[in-house]
Amino acid sequence: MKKGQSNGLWQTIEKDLRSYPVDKLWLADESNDKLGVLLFGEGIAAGRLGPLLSDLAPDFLSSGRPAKVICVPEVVRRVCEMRDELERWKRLSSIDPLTGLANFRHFREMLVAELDRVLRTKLPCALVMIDIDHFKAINDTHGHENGNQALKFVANVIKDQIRKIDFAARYGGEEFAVILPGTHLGKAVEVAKRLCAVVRDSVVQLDAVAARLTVSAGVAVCKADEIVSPELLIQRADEQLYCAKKQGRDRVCFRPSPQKEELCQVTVEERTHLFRLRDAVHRV
Amino acid sequence: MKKSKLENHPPMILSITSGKGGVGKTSFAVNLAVALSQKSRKVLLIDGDLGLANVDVVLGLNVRSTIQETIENGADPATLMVKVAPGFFVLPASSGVPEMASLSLEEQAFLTGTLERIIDGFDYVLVDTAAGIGESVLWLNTWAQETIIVLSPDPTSMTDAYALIKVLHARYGRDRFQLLVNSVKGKKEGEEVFANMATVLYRFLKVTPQSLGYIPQDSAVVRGIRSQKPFLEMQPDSHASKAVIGIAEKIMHLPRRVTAVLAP
Repeated sequence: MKKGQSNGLWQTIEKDLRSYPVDKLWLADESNDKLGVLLFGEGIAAGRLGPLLSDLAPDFLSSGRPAKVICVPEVVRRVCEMRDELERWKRLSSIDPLTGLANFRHFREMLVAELDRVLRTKLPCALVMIDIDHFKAINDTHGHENGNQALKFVANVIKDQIRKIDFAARYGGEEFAVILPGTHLGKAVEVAKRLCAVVRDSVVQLDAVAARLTVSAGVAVCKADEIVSPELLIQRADEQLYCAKKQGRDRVCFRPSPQKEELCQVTVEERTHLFRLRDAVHRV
Repeated sequence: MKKSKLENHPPMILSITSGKGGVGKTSFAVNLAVALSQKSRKVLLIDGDLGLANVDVVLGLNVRSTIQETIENGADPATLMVKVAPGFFVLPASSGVPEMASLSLEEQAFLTGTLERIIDGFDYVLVDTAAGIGESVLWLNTWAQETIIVLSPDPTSMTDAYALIKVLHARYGRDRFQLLVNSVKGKKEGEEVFANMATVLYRFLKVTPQSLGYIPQDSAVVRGIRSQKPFLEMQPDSHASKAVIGIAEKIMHLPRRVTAVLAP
């Protein structure tokens, strides 16, 4: 068996193929009109070699009999290129190039999937919407390049703080969204508060300036007994983010669950204490 | 040294709210605005009682266009502002329009978005909310940076103020409240009411309110309301007027919550 030199193009295929139990492997370089010939032994079904080979060599024997695969260089090259191209497009279409986080489109898809999971697993899913405070001012004062640095910084803080199963995305210009599967409101608020604290306590280098950034966050949860649409969950988290901004920024806002709403009622004990005030005040 | 653009402070937004009606919220809001403008501050007073306007009544204004125009016809609120005195502007509400008291979430967001665009240039924006703990009271309170709770020494007022604080705290996580005791017999009553409220608030809610002060019962106040003129203008030396001026000074010393990016 003659083993030729594998060039770069072949290295990809070669690696794949070597993991299969082929008896013999024969590669030739491009100067031949055959790029490569594979010989493999009995008992190995063609299907195990996967779609790669079926792309390369449509006429193919499916029994375990020894067979030859003859590859046409152009086809091989194109298949490899297409595969790379496909990977690149997949990444482009789901990653935000500046921060390395998922982009909005991908986030939407993930949120739909996660809310489905809530139905299946009966575990709640939390959504945290995070927004850099005074971002417009940063851009105006320090320029867009530094605005980008600020974005990257916050994105990195988020990446550091979340678990592997959590999912972070760049939701908009200066807004981020984090999906926390299997997480209750209390825990989600803890995570959000920690994120705020880390950003608040760090000093960021924007050009030659040591600057301090803060973020505001809004938290909403979808529970199994009250499934919401992705739009509604995003809207709820956004409302809380809005409140955080209104209340002064650099904070986390969340809406307590409906059971907690009863906690808003003034209790008998509180009233008693308040009415004792009446006696106290009337003594004046 | 590089001058940060953030040195031009955005306006401080304060809500004036009470829970119970009739404790003197609007009268206080108007006179506070007068006091601040007299100290060369530019003030916008927004009548947050969107369906039952009061600010214009207290001031004796003849109002033709209100915030309703903004919601329904997209009118620029800047054109609706009424100049009452140098540095004192009013954004009036509509009278007898129930829909305005129950705006949808989109309308609320639209309104606050619009308002945020026109409040640039003001030092202080005061929002006089409606009475009660309805939706409009709550969302206007969350829009503001500082919440001034006006109460009087009577138990219903204190209970309602407590209930309002409880909702704002439990539902919206607000923990800063400025308490103002109105219509007190004297300093002692003012201080006692505050102390007692603070005790109960801390005991049950772990909330520590700030004291904005108190305003004594004063015939000047009644006279002002009857004549539809701010008592601060009619009788600037009255006890009530002096109290309001003191409160204005306290407000001017409140820290502004602006997180600026440091310049070198």
